[in-house]
Amino acid sequence: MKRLVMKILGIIIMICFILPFGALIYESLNFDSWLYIINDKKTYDASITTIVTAMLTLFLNIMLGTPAANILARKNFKGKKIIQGLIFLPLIIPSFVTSMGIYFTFIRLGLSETLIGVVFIHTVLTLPYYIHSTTIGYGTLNENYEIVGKMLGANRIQRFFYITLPHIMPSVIAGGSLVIIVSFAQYLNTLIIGGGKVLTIPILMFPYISGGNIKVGAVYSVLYIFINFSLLFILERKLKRIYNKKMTGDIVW
Amino acid sequence: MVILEDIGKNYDNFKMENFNLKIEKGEFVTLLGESGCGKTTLLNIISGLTEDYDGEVYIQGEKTRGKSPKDKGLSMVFQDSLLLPNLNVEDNVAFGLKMMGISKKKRLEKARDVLEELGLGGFEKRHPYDLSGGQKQRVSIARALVMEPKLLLMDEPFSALDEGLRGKLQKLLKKIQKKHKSTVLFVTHDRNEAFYLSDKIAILDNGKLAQFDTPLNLYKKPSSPFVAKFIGINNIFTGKIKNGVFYNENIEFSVKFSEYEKVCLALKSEDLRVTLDEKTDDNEGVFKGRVKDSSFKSGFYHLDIDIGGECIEVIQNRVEFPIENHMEIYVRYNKDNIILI
Repeated sequence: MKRLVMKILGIIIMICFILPFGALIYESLNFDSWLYIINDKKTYDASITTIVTAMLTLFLNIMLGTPAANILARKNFKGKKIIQGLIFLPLIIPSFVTSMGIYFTFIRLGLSETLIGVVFIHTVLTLPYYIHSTTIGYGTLNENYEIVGKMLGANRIQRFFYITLPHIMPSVIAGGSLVIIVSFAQYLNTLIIGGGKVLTIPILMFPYISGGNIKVGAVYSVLYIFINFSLLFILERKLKRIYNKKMTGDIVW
Repeated sequence: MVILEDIGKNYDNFKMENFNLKIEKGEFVTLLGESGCGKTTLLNIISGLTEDYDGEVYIQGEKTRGKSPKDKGLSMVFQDSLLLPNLNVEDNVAFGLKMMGISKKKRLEKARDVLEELGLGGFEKRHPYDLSGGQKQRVSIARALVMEPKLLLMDEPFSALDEGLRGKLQKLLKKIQKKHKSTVLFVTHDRNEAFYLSDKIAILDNGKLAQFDTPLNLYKKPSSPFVAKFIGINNIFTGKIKNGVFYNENIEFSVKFSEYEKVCLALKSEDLRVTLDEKTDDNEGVFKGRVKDSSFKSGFYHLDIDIGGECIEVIQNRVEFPIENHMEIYVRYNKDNIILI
């Protein structure tokens, strides 16, 4: 019985994950398609825009989400539930509804069809993931550690870097990874706010996948996966480096 | 010298008013009291963790209000060791020095010296998860001592340890405190710990200072029935004294005092002795009673004797005859040992 269940599970995993990925790799094994995207300037522009958007989104998430997570995890105040609900609202409401709502405001502010506008909408859509993950990290931090830091003469910033950050680091890495993955995957919201002028890899590859040229689409997909994985890898390495160096000496970036 | 002057603090169900205490330099003072009596409140006020309070705290003549713990010259050891899990032992100990901007070489040298003194030589590179409870607490004491504080605050640092280990650490702490002549304010609810470690003990009763004295004086001259009870004197009687006889509605016995309209007398359980006859020497008195309950704990007989409505506790290491509940018995006392409160 157990063996049968395992076999069925294996088949489901094959159908859902391995076969599509295999097919994607198979479709991308095409020299002409690779040559086409390598020679296309848009590939480089889109890759850089995608990376810059994801990194700026991550930066805003860390700057806004970390203090928010701290307060949500450790302070009790009136209206906390409402604020929690508002932060998680973009996860419940269809994202393009959020984007459409924000779009009209961005037109007034001159942020539509700009990279900053796209970064903002990505931030709105990724903050719930980051805050949720980091809140869990803060929730497990014993406040007495910070009192010890205070007693030993550490100021607020030193306490954050030497005591809080090492503790919440796994949650920051998990949340940050989600931010990058979700930011990378945005198509419709990037299109609404960016108006087609902010070119990211999903925007670039969509026409190929939806009937243009499936082989070029497959190559863009492989490129997308490669950049995505590379960024996640670098993020983890960099954050762990801060973590380790902060423990014993000065940071070496 | 540390002075607490007219300290006051109000909570919903707790009030501290005009609390005064003076700790001399190099003195080991313990705040002793039950949970909720204000020990931790005082510690938080001194450390600055509580900023809203009445009165003033002076450390070596300087007002401490608004100053950071570092500027006040304070270090603190908590009930949990609270070692930073990502740092090894020597980095944990040197953490405060690092925050002061002391060079790595110097701070690690100092940390290693203190660790050596606390018997933790060879543990420098270990991480907290690799240490036992007692070792962790020694590291946290080292972390506080390395700062050479003007006042070391200790908030029940040994209460989470088992009894044997607690004893060893108390001995170590006492040795180190005497050697460095550190000024220590220690908080505990453990009477034996307070008596062993302290030069002076402040007994707190619901936000008030019940008595502040040396352990010996507390035991010899408790200032109130509360203090007497708290330090373990269980035989306390309230009544009157007339012509050398103490009496109340239940009992009467002869004492050395002449006349008091309302008085409290205390008799230490270990100063009493049970016998089968009522013979007494000079200066002795005797109660007649019945054994209510008897038990044998850690080498001592604990006997509850009913002496006519009042119950008296006797503790003695040897009883020369078999003890049975409800048997008739005499309890001898020396009149010189009766404490007048």
